[in-house]
Amino acid sequence: MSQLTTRQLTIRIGNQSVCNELNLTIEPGQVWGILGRNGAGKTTLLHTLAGLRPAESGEIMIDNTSLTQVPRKQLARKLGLLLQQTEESFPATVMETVLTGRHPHINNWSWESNEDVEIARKALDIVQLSNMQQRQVDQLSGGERQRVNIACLIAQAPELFLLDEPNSHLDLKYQILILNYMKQLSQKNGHGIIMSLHDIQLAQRYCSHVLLIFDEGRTSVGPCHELLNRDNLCELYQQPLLEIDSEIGPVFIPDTNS
Amino acid sequence: MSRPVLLLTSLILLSIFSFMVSLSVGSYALTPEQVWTALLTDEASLQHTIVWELRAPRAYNAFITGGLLSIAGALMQVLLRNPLADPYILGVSGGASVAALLSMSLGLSAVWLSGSAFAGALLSILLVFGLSHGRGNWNPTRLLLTGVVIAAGWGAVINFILSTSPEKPLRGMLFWLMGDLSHADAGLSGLVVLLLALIISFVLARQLNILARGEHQASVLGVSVQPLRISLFLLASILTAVAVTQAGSVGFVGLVVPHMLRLLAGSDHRLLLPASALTGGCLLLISDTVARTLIAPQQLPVGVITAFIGVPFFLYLLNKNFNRQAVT
Repeated sequence: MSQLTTRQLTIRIGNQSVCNELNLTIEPGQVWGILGRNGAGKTTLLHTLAGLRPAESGEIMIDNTSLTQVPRKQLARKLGLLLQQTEESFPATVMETVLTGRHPHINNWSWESNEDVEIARKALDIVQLSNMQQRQVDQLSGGERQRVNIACLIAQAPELFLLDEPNSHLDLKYQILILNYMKQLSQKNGHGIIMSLHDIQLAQRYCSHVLLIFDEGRTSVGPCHELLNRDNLCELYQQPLLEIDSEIGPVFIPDTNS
Repeated sequence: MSRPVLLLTSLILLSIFSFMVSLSVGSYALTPEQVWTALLTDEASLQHTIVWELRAPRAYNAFITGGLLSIAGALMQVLLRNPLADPYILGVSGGASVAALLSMSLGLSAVWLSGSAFAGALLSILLVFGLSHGRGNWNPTRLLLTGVVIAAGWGAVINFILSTSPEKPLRGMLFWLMGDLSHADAGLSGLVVLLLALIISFVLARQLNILARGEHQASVLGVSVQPLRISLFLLASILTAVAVTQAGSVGFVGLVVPHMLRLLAGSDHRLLLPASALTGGCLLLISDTVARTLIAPQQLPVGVITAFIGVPFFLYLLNKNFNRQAVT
């Protein structure tokens, strides 16, 4: 399974700094959460890690090869990204959309094999959309569309999963279903998972490590239980929080009175 | 039989039927048997001359031109991620028209006409490519805006030429602008270009399916977006240039045929592109047959007929499709 590292990675959006000289190593089997306020640069960081935009300086390595040296199609077998926004300009069915995930595994002259179709079916099974294979994607609800995109990523079967807000549009049941599946991928098969999240509770329960993006490019990196404390989170979200002890550990809820 | 095979087979049968109709109909009507005899035998007869020298070349040109325009339209729509894109949106036909009108006002012969039209189209392609490429990003929005502005510029030049031109060549110019097949001569190269385009687009087709899901999604799935876009732009532009050189700016085919097929056959470009080529060929062939027979002996520009046939048919399909969506 692939390992992703960054060396002295600096990313900027215009004048705003997302991270400064960040050193990060994502080992196989780890689940990383990226937390930060709106506009902190979570999406930009994920896009940079996936090679969609260049970094200001520094290097991203996948298995000790620079990301820029890996051909796009080969990279797509190592690393997949769930985007926050996809655009479907021309209608396609759910099955057709999920099958696009197989692209990195098929050469340009061939059609999808029965095996590819089987993989896509299984992916739809996992997100519980098996009964919607022939539906047009533009007729689905937001949550169903999100599950189609997740199924596409599962069909792509990369070694590293980058997920930009995997929970958006999903109801509670599917949030847990998807996160359980990702956790299982990391524990059973040693996939590396990196996801941006807005839910502190879910980050505590699913992530082994977190990356906190504060303002002005200041970041904190480390094991989840060390970094997710009240002081850090209050500062991160600029929002007073209450800490409540529970049987599953500390729970943070917003202090709405201050 | 699977749906794609069924669709392609029926389109091939429709093409053969369109050819037969086109070869039989005209001021000298022929029965299907006479057409077959003329096609298959080599004896010198009036029927043989009519079929081989008058009608077959024109039918062939119409079919090739329609096929080229439909593929170009489908490619442009994905490239620009805009369902309203047609082959002419980026100014290829404008450049060709200006050059063609200039050579008409100079009274040059037909050979010069198509030569200069092709040169004008190429000039326009290079202009749009250079201006939208420049330094920095090459994205569909910038390409679209550059192309639309260049097309508008050509439009102004066309109007200038038309308004200052003497009466005599004016009618020919207007016909050319509306799209007219009476001087078309695609030769073997037209067929070669069409077949090459089909092969190339078939190889690119799966990447097109993914590009339709957006630039980032395509990159993440391993498509090299920039080279793909440049190939699409060049391929679509060259196909348009070849078509325009033959027949002027025949409207509507390149816009509507890909949409018809999306409604009928779905959005997999591996099926969509060959099916569009066949449908576009048929549409233009039938339109041209109508154009030269409707008020014979006078001929109409084929562009008028493509719109007459295409508009209601497209509205019907659209309406049917939206009703179906409303029910499910």
